Amino acid sequence: MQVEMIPGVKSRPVYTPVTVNPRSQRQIFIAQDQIPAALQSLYDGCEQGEKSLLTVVTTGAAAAGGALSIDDLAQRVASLPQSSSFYLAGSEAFMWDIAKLLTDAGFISDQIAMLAPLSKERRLFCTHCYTLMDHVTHSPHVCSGCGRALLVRDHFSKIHRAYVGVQINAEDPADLPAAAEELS
Amino acid sequence: MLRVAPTKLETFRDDFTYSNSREAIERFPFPFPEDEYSYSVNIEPHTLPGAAGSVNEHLFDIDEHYLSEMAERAQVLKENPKRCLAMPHMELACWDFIDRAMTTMAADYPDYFSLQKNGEQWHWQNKLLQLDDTFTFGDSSTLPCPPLEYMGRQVQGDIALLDQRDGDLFLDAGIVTCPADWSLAFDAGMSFKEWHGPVPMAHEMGVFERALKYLTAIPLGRPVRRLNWTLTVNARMDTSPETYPMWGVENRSVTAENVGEKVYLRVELQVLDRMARSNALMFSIRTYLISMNDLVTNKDWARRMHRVMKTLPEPLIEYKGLTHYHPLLVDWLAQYDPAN
Repeated sequence: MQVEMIPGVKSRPVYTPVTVNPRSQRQIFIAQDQIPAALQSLYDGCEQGEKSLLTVVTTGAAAAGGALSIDDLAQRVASLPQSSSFYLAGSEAFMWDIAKLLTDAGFISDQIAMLAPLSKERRLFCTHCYTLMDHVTHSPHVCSGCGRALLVRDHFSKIHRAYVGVQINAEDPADLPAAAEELS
Repeated sequence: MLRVAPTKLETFRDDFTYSNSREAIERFPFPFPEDEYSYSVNIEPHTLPGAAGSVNEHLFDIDEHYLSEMAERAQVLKENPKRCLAMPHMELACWDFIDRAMTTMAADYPDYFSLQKNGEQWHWQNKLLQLDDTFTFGDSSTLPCPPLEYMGRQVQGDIALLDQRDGDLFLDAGIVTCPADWSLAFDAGMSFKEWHGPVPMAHEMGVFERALKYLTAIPLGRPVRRLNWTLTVNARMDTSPETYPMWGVENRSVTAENVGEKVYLRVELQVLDRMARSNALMFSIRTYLISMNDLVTNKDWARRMHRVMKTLPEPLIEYKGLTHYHPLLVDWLAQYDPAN
C-alpha cells in the first residue's frame, strides 16, 4: 500500500502518487459513487493485465448503470485471483473501508493502492462513548453519541478507519472555542 | 513475604484515600537519573530476581496496594467492559500470560498464591482475592471469564499483549484500566509506530526505530524494562481518555497552597517479556503514584525533581497535559533546591 506516515503527524496516513503494478493479472479500479479523473486516467493508461473499472454506491442515489453495492463488491472480490491489484478512489473513510474488505478477503496491503482522498472529510471516533461519525469537516465536532465537543486529532486508526476525538473543554467546561476550525 | 502486607482498601477516585507507607515511599522507583531532563529510551535488562525488596525483585511486583488496585480495576471494567480486549488470534498469547503470571507469582509470593499442575489440569489459589479455581490449561471455556481478563484482574498494572509479525509489534490484546492518557479501544491493532504517533520529539530522534529493533529481538526468559513517567492530579489510577471528561477539571484544581497534596509523580515500570508459545511480547505497565509531599521527604529526590521539572521541554509539558499546573509545581519545588 502506498501509504506511509507523515513526519510531524506520525499516525496520520499520507497518500503518495499511485502507479500501476505491471505484474498483476487483474487490475481492479474502484471508485466511490463517481469515477474521478485521476482514477480514469490511471485506468486508461493501464496496459498490463485484465482491467476492470468499478463504481461502488455509497450515497443512496444510484450512480450510472452497473454500479455496485458494497455487498456486490465483496462477492466480486471473492472470485478474483490472488495476483490482483486494487486502485481505490473516493473519501478517505471509503478507501479504508474497501481496503478492509479486501484484506478480509485475503489480499495484502501491498496489493492495495489509494489515491489522494477526494475530500477533507474525516471519520471520527469518540474516545468517550466510542461512537463513529462520518463527514466530519470541522474541529471541534459535537459528538452525535454523547454530545461532547470533540477536538479532532490527527491520530488515525486503520482498524476503526477513523481519527480520534477528545473532549476539547474537559479541563474547563465553560471554555468552548467561539468558532470551529476547518480540518485540513 | 512482603514487608507491608496488602490488607488495606483505598480509593483512587472520589475521596482518594490512597496513601503510601514509609516502606512504599522508600522503594518508590524514582525515574530521573540526572538533574537535567533528557529524553532517552533507557531500556535495560530486567534480570530476576532484582534487588531484594525493590520493585524490580520479581516479574510481577505485588505490594501493599494490591487489594485497592484490584478493586479499582473491577470498578473500571464494570463501568466499561471494553477496557479489556483480545483479538481472536491472541488466544494463545493470553494463555502464555496466564502461565507466566501464575508460575512466577506462586514461586515469588508463596504465602499469597499457589499453583498445582497435573498435566493440563491446573489448580490456582489466590489467597488475597480468595480465589480457588481449577481449569484446563488452554481451554478458555473452563475459566469464569476470558483468559486475559481472568488473570488481568489478579495482577497490578496494565497488561498489553503485542503480536509480533513482519518485524513489527501490534497492539492486539490488553487489559488497560490505569493508562496515562491512551485508549486501548482506539489504539487496538496499531503497529508500534502507529500507537506512538502522538508522542513528540522521539520520532525525529529515531527512538522508535531503534526501540523496535531491540524489542523484536527479545529472547525467551530475558525480559527488559524501562521507567516512564508523568504527573497526575490526585491519586487517580484511571487517567484514560475515556474518562477524561470526569477528571479533566482536576487539572485546574492545583493551587500554590495544595501542590504538595494534589500533584502526584506517576511512574510506570514497563516490562517486556517474550511469551513462550505464541512468540508475542507481554508488555506490563505497572503504575506507582507518589504525592509531592511524600516525594520531598527524600531530599535528593526533591532537589532533582525541581531541576528536571525546570528543564522540561515545552512540547513534553503539553503532551503530558501539565500545561496548567507545571509553573506552580516548579515554584513549589524551588524551596527544596539550595541552588535557588
